[in-house]
Amino acid sequence: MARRGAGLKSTAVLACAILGLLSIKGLRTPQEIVWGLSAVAALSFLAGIPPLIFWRRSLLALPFCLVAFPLLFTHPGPPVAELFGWGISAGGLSQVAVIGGQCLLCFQVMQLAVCLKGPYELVEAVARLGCPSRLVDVLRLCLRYLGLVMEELGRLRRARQSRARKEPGLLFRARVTGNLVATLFLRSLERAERVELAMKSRGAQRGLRLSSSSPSPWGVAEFVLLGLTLTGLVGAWWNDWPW
Amino acid sequence: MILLALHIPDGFISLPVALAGWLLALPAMAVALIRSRDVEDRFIPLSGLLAAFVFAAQTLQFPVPGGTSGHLVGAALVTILLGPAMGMVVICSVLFLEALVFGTGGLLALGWNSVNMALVMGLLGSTVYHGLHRRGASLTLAAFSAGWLGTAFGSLVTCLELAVAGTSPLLFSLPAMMTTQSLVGVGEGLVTAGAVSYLARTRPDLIPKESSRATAAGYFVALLILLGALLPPEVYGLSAEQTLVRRYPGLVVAGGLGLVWVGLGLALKLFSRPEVKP
Repeated sequence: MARRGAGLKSTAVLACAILGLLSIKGLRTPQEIVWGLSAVAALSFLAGIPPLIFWRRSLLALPFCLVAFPLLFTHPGPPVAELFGWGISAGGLSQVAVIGGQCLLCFQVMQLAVCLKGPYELVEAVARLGCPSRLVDVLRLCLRYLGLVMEELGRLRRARQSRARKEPGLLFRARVTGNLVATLFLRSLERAERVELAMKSRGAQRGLRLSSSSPSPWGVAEFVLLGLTLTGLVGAWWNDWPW
Repeated sequence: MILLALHIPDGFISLPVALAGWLLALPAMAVALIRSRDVEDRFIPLSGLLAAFVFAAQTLQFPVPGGTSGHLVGAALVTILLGPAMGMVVICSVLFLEALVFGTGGLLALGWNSVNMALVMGLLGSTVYHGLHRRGASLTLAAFSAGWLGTAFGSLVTCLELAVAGTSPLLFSLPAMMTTQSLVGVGEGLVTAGAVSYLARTRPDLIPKESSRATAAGYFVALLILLGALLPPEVYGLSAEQTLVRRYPGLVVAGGLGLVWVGLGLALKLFSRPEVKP
């Protein structure tokens, strides 16, 4: 029962995050974006996430926001300022702020979900929301072995740095990197074979599904959650949110 | 700074545009999951570990002129080595985890990101590889072309999608992204070529043969891109009276890349060594 409750919590967090992502698309002015950012910051504070860490992580979204930058110059309207000799319109400024803000907010919402439940529980929540179990098993194994494969890559890189010739040529470096990637591919294949054998030796059935991969039947709580999500979506649509 | 331009984040596209991406990606993903049943017992461990491999390989960066750096995507490489179905599953799993846990890309934009990287970069890249190799190109040249053209076409499609969404004007994004991503594509192509030629030397049994279905799927993706580029300019936020280059920029760039591809084919016909049969 407790396990089911924990699973339900992670499902609720993911469902709320998805609902949050959909709602963010409804924010149309910089003021609304500021309200959204304040709300997410307050939620993260209430969840006990140190603000400095949360905002430092949020900086990862900045390179994406740059893609909207040209709208500063191309949006029609009288120029209110100049940059590099090009006029910036008020509409363009507002649009860049809204798109960049939406991008940052979506990033923060997903980061909040990860901080609250952790990656493994989020993948379980994806399974409970109806994602095909074969795909969920792949995600689980990927997360489980990511650290090992990264360590393997680190060892290969150290070996390359200590033993490879120091030639500055682009082709040489590309070939060495290609060899490194191919070696990592081979080692991942070998590890996959070992994992397959280990799963078989532990009695895995045909298809080698992970033991917990069969989705649990939906209970009343899941249906209530789905109903609430749908109600929220219909309510938002009814209020003519600009999606 | 890492160039993340091929990942469309949430917030950049409207819901109808995001939905269109999902409508394209979901059937392809379903077909990939069904087709990968051929390797039933190995499917989950193999896909899981290779998704972790792609994740790790994406941390490898190479410098791009202009003070930035690009990172390996690995879509063409994985699709060449595993075939289109497994390749698609692996790339989509990586994209899903990136969106869910690491904040690269987004859940709403996952449909378009899957189209860009799994279908265009992966499937189209693998078709380029098999097409060139069948016509006598060396493995290295074919793999390089797959990596490079896959990246170039991936960025082209990304530009078109962002223009349709009204986020990034085509007249700015197309030259900016195509220039940088073509340079990133050279790195991608070189690493793909290095990896494929190394595997061909050490484990030739891992280099798969061409499958006609996969080639057909690759041509279908190319046809979709062509049809997308032929849409009226208003769809991409351009005015109707603009010149041909501006009117059909996607088509012009695709045509240019096609000419490059033909040039590559001619070059390899001229300079390739005759095949020695045992």
